[in-house]
Amino acid sequence: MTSLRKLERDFVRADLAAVQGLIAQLGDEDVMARFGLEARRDELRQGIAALEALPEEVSASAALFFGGDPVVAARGIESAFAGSAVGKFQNIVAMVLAHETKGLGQRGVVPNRRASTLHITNVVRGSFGFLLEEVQAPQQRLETSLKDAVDKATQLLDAFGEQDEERFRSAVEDIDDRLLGTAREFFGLMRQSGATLRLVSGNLDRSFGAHAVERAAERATSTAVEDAEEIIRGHLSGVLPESHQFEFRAGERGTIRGNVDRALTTNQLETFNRELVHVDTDARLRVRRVRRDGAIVREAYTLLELMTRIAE
Amino acid sequence: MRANLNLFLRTPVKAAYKVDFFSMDLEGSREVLISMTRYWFGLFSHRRSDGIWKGMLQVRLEDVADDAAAIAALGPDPGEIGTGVTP
Repeated sequence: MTSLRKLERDFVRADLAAVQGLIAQLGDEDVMARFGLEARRDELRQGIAALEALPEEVSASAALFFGGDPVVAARGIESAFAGSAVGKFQNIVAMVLAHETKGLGQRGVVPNRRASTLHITNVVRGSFGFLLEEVQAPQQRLETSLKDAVDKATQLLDAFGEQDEERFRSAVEDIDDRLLGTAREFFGLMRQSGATLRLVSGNLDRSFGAHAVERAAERATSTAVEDAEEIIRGHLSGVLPESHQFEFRAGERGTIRGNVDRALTTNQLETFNRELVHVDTDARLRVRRVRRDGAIVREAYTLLELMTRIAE
Repeated sequence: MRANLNLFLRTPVKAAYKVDFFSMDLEGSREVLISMTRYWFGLFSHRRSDGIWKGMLQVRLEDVADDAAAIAALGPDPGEIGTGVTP
């Protein structure tokens, strides 16, 4: 029994489907079999109802299952590989948490690393897997929960194996190069070790076969994310103060859309809408460029500041 | 069977005898018998958490003295009462 609710729910549902299939197969002569199977069906239904009635999970948990060369059936896993893979996953979680809270510097210590600590609390069968859980005291909790960070980390890794290139690019747009580097290390290890992977966290359940590992490792190697600040001249078309989004007409570059930096308050944005729309301004923007093999495949803009130009 | 329904239902059997009880028809459909064997074997053969064999115990029930005692306890077959005269 694992404490990862999704695995438990999937297990009971699969069992119920098997029992219902058997009941459908019964004829009039199978009276005794019907008694037994219906009793089992009712028990499983009650189990599902009990799982659904549980309050929403607040603690972080994820299961990582490994297969391929480092694994000998359900018997064992190479210790060096397992330690390294789990460590790299933990690194990704720490960086996502830092990214979502205090921000992640270009280099140096990752903030809140201690708060991101997950413990291995169980081994799970099905290839060979580890259950990782948050066991820290509640007072250490941060505004962004470790659960969110773990779920986001698994969603990010999921995007690397995704067949749809556009979905991958849009997921990478939200991260920085340092986080990308940890994902590169993780998938590099998987590829180099000939391992396959299954990741379960929240409602996400993603299997990476050999092809998906190859695709993810290739993407992680060939992708780079870079941030640059630029000042662009043009006219503000308007901002959405609550959702922090802007539209800016930048002459020959056309219309630029993006998010507004959260450091600018809703009040400031309302002032922009009153005073700066269609006025000649310089916008200071952070431009995040996603490159694949050197070519820019995506650009995302964040508005940092808006300055009126003095009439020339 | 109707008169002794509690002997065939899981909940009353568990309450009375402290065993998990699922019945099967040895003379029902063969295909169902195979499917049921597959299902119960899958459920009871190994411990889910670590794959360790749980094992199953087989108890033979064809004890003539026990059968006679059971028939005596059940009394006459209700279906046969009043049908003993042939024209």
